[in-house]
Amino acid sequence: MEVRQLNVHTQSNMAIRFLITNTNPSFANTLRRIILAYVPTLAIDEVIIIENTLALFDEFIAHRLGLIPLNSDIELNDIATCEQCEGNGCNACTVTLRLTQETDSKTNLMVYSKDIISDNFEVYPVNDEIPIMKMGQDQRLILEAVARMGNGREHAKWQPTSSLGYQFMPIINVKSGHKFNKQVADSCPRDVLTYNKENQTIDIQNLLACNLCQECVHITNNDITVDADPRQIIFYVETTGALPVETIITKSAEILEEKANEFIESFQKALEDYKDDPRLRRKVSTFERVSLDDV
Amino acid sequence: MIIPVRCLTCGFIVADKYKPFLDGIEKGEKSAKELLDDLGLYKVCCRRMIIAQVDLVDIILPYSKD
Ligand code: SF4
Ligand SMILES: [Zn+2]
Ligand SMILES: [Zn+2]
Repeated sequence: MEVRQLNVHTQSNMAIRFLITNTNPSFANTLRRIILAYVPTLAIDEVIIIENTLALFDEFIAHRLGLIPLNSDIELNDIATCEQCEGNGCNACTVTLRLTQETDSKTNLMVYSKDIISDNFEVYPVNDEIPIMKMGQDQRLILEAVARMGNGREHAKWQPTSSLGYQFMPIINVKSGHKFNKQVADSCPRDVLTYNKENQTIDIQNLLACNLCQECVHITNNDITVDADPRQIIFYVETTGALPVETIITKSAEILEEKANEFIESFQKALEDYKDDPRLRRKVSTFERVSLDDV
Repeated sequence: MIIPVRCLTCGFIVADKYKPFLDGIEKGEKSAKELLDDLGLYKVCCRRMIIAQVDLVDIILPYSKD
């Protein structure tokens, strides 16, 4: 297996595109599902509303607060397994954030995510300009929010990515010696094909942009063929900002390794437990560790 | 009501891009398409969040709880 970075999509390192060669779709899908479901991030989970005289009701505000991505590149215990507090919440597993706003009798006010004050300097909304709510005149809002680590299996607000996917590597074959017209190049929605006017041929200019739509195949009646190579996979990850993209990917692989090791351990324990069981005919004495390179 | 924090389909943060979009439209220098591209909203699902938004929050503002 070999990985090659293709290009960083947006200005602010929010997305990455890379090519995995010598792999298979099941591995790419495993990675994708682990990123979606198991990579932990931080999000507001509980909101204690002390005072709210806004036109927007409590649940509405709490829901919007939950969706704001917080910087999750920190060490924080998982609340369910926290040894210090047994799931009640403490400094080692939760972060408290506060929001207090008041308006006078003349002005309206938009409350932004930058108005949130955090107890932990490492935890802050990654995006300062997210409007949370709008306040009318003479209104007051005091709240305390508790953020904790969670994963996408619990709620989508803990998912580290916004769009995430993979596609197979396109293999485009243009029939050699055949004369094409310009419409063929124009039919491609991704500008993969260019038209060579002198020889009336089609060149492939930007292979990795192809999305396998088969439009060029239909318009030329199979004089161009487009196939997909499932052993080479183009992976695309775009973060919400909670975690850097590189961290998301490395963490997902770590979680996969952890799960594989956990399985090996319990499998060996099962073998050990039933060693003397007469029903178990075949005794497996050695069990080789699966390394990620062989997946 | 008020612009949703995230795109309903993909989870991209769209709330912070609504005001720059409105400001850009107000200025009139760029088309809506160019503005959306500049703001990094390259997926159709996120673009419709911005385009189809109707800000009704101003209407309900005076109706507070007391
Ligand atoms: S399959 Fe679609 S995207 Fe790919 S080259 Fe043909 S027309 Fe372009
Ligand atoms: Zn704790
Ligand atoms: Zn979207």
